[in-house]
Amino acid sequence: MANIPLMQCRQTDMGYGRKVVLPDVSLAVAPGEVLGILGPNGAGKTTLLKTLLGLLPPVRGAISVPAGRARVRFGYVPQRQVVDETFPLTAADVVLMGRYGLLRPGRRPGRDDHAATLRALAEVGMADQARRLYRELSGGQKQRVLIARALAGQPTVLVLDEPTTDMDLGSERAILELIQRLRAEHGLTVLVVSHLLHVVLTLATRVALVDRRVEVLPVEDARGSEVLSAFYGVRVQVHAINGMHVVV
Amino acid sequence: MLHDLFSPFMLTSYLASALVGTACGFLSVYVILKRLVFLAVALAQLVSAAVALAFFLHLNPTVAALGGVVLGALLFSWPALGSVLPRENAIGTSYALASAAGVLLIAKNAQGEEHLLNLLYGSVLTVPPGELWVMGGVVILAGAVYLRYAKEFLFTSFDPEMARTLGVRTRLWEAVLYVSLGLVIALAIHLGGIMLVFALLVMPGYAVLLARSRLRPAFWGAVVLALLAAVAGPALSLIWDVPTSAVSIGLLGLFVIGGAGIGHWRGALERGR
Repeated sequence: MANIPLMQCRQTDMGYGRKVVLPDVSLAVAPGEVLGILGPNGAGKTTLLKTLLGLLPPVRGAISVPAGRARVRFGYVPQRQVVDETFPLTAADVVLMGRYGLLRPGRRPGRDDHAATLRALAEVGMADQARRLYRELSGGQKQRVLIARALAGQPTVLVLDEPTTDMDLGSERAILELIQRLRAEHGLTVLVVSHLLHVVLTLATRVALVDRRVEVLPVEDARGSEVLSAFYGVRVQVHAINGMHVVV
Repeated sequence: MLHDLFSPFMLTSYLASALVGTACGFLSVYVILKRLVFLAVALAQLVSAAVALAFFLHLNPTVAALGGVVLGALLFSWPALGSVLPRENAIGTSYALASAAGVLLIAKNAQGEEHLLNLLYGSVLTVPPGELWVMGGVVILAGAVYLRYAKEFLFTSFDPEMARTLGVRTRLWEAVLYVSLGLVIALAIHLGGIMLVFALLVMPGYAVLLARSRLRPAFWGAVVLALLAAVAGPALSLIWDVPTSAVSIGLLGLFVIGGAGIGHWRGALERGR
């Protein structure tokens, strides 16, 4: 069972409407892996992510779940800049939304849902901030709340879109460690999209290099300077320091 | 004077105002948070044009208003509308076209000016009981839908992309929101007039959110403020012998100023902690 992918696509064209952005994509997401999605701006990272999430229908082909596998439940952590901060919602209100996917339309969250919300906040170290307004939190705290919201829905796949963009070094480090800890504790499969090479190279076990096409490599290969230099067209060097990867 | 304030005629107008205030006050929080102010005014203008067309063609104006506003709401909630340029462009174009159509149709109608005044200032003091029943039914139905599906409306409004990944049918809830907004506008304009309805769809929500209210209290607070302004309007207009809508809107203006003051005070308190 461990060898059967959670989801897969074969020779699938991905894009918007009839416009193909990523042709002929073949990809399988294995259980427990961290698949990093790397690429320059406008290369098609978001198209790939949204298609895998089911937000965009493939132009040709399909995303399928192999026989014997349960339907994937996503815990999506969007870029925190796209979350609307006009709404006067507390951190707990935001996290509770992660439970909505488990409830039928018209059914109100119950005691279990509120308990799961508090547990998820505690897991990301935000239990004491539950009653604070989301918009009043720092960037790192907002990211933790969004991760807690994803966890509250008991996902099989955690999907993170640019999880550390615009963060200071300390906050970035803390978020990366949090993701690694949650993955280990929950046995989660993780998809992480970032234009920051060091974030993907630190977290991922495999890397999808996206630039109008998709090439999937083990992370050890992707960390090779030749591969990244050829991909980005500039000289790239990767150094490992205390379990983190620094890109020069 | 006291006797006049509680005459059957005035009690009917209070009830009409209360229904309009309740529906518009509740929706005003969504109008502000989802930045639908422009959409609300465009829908209101579509109602005016549809009613003008109904008068011109000797059709039932209520049916025409409902038809126009439902079509408008569905059109404005259509996702493809914003695929090339922001949706506000289409809404603005619809507003301009509806305004022009309304003016042309009224100009070509022998009784045009009278109807235009009715459209702009409403007739909350002369509401036929039949319209009250219809408005009451819509308020109860819309209220039940909003209370039962509160989490779907909230999730769709706050983070539609995440909602879709969890299987929430965001397009359906978006369309229900727009159509219910349109229905309320269509019926409320006939009772309260375009000016009052637009003010009630924006200012109560604006006032409570300026006061830094949290979400659930914001809905109740907006309904209370809208009720106060809408019901006090007819009473004060009788006492002061001035137009009803203007009095209600003036009160709403005071609530907005009060909300801004409370928000400023609360912000200063929080910064001081």
